[in-house]
Amino acid sequence: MNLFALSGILAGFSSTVMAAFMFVRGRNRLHFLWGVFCISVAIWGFGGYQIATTADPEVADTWWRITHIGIILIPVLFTHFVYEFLQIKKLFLIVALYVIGLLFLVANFTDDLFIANMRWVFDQFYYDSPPGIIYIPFSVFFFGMVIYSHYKLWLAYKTVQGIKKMQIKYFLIGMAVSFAGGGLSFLPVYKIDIYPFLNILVFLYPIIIGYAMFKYRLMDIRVAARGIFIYAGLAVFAYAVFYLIAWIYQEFLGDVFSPQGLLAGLIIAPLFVLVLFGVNRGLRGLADRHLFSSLSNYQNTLRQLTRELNYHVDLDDLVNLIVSTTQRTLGTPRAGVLLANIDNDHIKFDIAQVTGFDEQNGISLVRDNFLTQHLRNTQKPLVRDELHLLIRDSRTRQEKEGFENLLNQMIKIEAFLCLPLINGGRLIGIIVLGEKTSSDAYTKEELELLDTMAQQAATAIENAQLYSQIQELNQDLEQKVEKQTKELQEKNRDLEKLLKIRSEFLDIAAHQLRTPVSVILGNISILQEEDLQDLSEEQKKKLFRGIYKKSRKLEAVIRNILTAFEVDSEEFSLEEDMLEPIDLVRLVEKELEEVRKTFDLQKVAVHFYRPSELFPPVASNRYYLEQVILCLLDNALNFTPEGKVEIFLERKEEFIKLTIKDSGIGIPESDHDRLFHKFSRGEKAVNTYPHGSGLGLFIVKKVVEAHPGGQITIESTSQNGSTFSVTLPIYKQPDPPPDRIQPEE
Amino acid sequence: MPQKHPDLKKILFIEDDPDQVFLYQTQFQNYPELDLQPVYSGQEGLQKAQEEKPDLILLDLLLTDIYGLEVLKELKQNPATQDIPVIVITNMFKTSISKECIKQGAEDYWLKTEMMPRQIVESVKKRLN
Repeated sequence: MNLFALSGILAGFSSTVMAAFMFVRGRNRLHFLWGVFCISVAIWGFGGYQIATTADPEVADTWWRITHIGIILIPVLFTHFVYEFLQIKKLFLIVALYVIGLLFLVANFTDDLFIANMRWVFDQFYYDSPPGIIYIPFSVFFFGMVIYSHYKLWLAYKTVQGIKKMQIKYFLIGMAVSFAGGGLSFLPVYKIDIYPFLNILVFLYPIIIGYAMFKYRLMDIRVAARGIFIYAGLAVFAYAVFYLIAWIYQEFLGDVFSPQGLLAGLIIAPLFVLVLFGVNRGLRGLADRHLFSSLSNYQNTLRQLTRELNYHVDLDDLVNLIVSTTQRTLGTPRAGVLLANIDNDHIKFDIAQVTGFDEQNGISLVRDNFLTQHLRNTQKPLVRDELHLLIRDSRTRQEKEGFENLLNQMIKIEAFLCLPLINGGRLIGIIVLGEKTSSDAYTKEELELLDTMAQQAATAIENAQLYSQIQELNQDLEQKVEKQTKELQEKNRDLEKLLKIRSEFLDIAAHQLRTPVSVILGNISILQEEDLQDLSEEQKKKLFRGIYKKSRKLEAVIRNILTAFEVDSEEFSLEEDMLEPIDLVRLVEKELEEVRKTFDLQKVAVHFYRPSELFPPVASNRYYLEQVILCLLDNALNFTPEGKVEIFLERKEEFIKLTIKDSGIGIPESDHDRLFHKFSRGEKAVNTYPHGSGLGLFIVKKVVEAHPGGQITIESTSQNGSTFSVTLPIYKQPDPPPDRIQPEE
Repeated sequence: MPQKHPDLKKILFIEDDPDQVFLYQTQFQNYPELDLQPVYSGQEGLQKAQEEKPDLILLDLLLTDIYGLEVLKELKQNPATQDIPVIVITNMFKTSISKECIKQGAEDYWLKTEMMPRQIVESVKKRLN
């Protein structure tokens, strides 16, 4: 075999494989066109082999004509393909090409217009030399179209960016090398006898282009290496077994239909099937580890994942699902999900889940925000391989450095792909994938699929985040409800307590009101019913006095109750116009006169220590202050079954302090706080001190504290008497002093 | 004091309000066979009940020193006084309290505003005969 034959068979074979691949895996016109182009090259290649291996001029002539079917179609199909590839739409030109091609094909089968003579060259084979008349325009057409197409590719290469540029580059190199090599074989036609040794280069174009398909997703077609590998492996296995068994029969068993032959078959057949399954599994495993898994396989898986995403509401589950499925499907040992955390308007990306990557490294990707900004802007998956192109095409130095940094980071952590999770235009997270175990590149389909999946995932993640927020909110709400229920229960208990106190108060108040009434009624009934002669004047007088006294008492109780309700409002305060100058010494003396008899009756001594100096009047209101003093005296008497009550006045800067000290039973400290509450009495008081209404101290406190700076304090312990002190402000002439105010006391 | 009546009945009146004591004393003076002896505190009442062994005790509930119900309990616990009938006479209009008094051994529970002094004396008299 000579070199011409070898280069022909190599080119023919490589082109056939490429064409077969295109027809099996191809989906669009581009793939079909390329397949047909490869067939035309294959025709040329195999035809060349036939030419190179025949010494018969008749046979050579026939093969030259067959070969030229391929050669004529090459420029036509190549130009058409380039137009399609570069998406140049010029239908007229394409039609014209095919018409011209058809004309040359017709010429090819004329006697001597195209192929005319066979000339023995290089002492090896016959060449179609010299050619017919039409061969000259064909040669011009051939080189014209090839050079024109390359020029078009070159122009495109200069203008496009990114992956497309790389695709064009490789395509251009592959084709230029092959055409340069193959083109030289035209020379001997025109009697320039240079051996077409460069034809050997033609077989390189499917290899270079195949590489570009693999590396730069040229024509967006997947190399079905896995399927081919498994299929071929099984075929080789079956073929080998078949011949092994045939040999065994021939050597040892003789006829296949002999009894021992049939018997052996019974053992061999199931054994074969068993082993076949094992081999199948082994081959698949091998392919999965080292070759692509089938596209349809993970198309389905990713679709299923997309569906499944909608059923998950738990964020962790969701992220887990995304990571594990992508990993399993694409065969990437490294995968991770980063999620945006919005914290005080500052967006931070945290790792939600990561496998294969070092966590710290995972974070390093987003440390300088360059990646997130890029993803936010493009909203497209970022492939590491494309970073080279982005670096080259970057317009600013800053951008360039950013991409270089990013590339280094991605190489360092062995990340291959960053998928943005975009929802509502916002970048809510990033899926980072490592290299596939097969070391294959991500195809355009995969990227599109991943992009679609990422969109779904983004929605699902956002939903899950919202869901968890709602759950947190719910939990918060539950806690709040629980807290409020507790508060309500407490309030309820307080209310129950209050109601109890209230009913106690009502019992006491009713008693307080009825007692004078019962005396008044009783006295009157005696005065009415008795024969008045039976009563001495003294008795009559006493009965009348009783009626009077109890009427006064009744009036006091009623006033007490009414005042209590009056002061028991938020708004109650002694406004400036309600304040009048009051001589406290005189008022105390006056009130003391009122109650002195009661003290005497109870045999409780009462003493008022008049101050030696003259005190200025206090700013108060007579109506309320009278009640305060009466209540305090009444209170002292009630708490003092026997002993004494002392009253002091002292001046404290701008205040006058009235102190009423008794030697009674005292009030335990635990009772001090509630002493001033409405309807409240000391623990023992309900049963023990029946004559207070339970409102006195409440009134005192309210009234005293309604004064500017007014205060009430109590000092008392059980058994040691009580001291109540009331601080009242000294009266000041209002500014400007109105002349109407005159102290009346 | 009136002359001693042959069937003189001693009535102990435990009441802290002098006006009321005077009121009932005035009413009782028309009944020489009834000797109303007032005391002004629970403590005094308990002591007098033991010493004098009255035929009847009229007991007010809200006293200055001890709660009337406690006085009642002590009277009923003391063997020396437990057989003396006690009538509670008060202005506490509370069923729970009246029930409690009856439970603790009071003969009756009278309300001051409901019964005029004459009615009270008549009722006491009836009960002692």
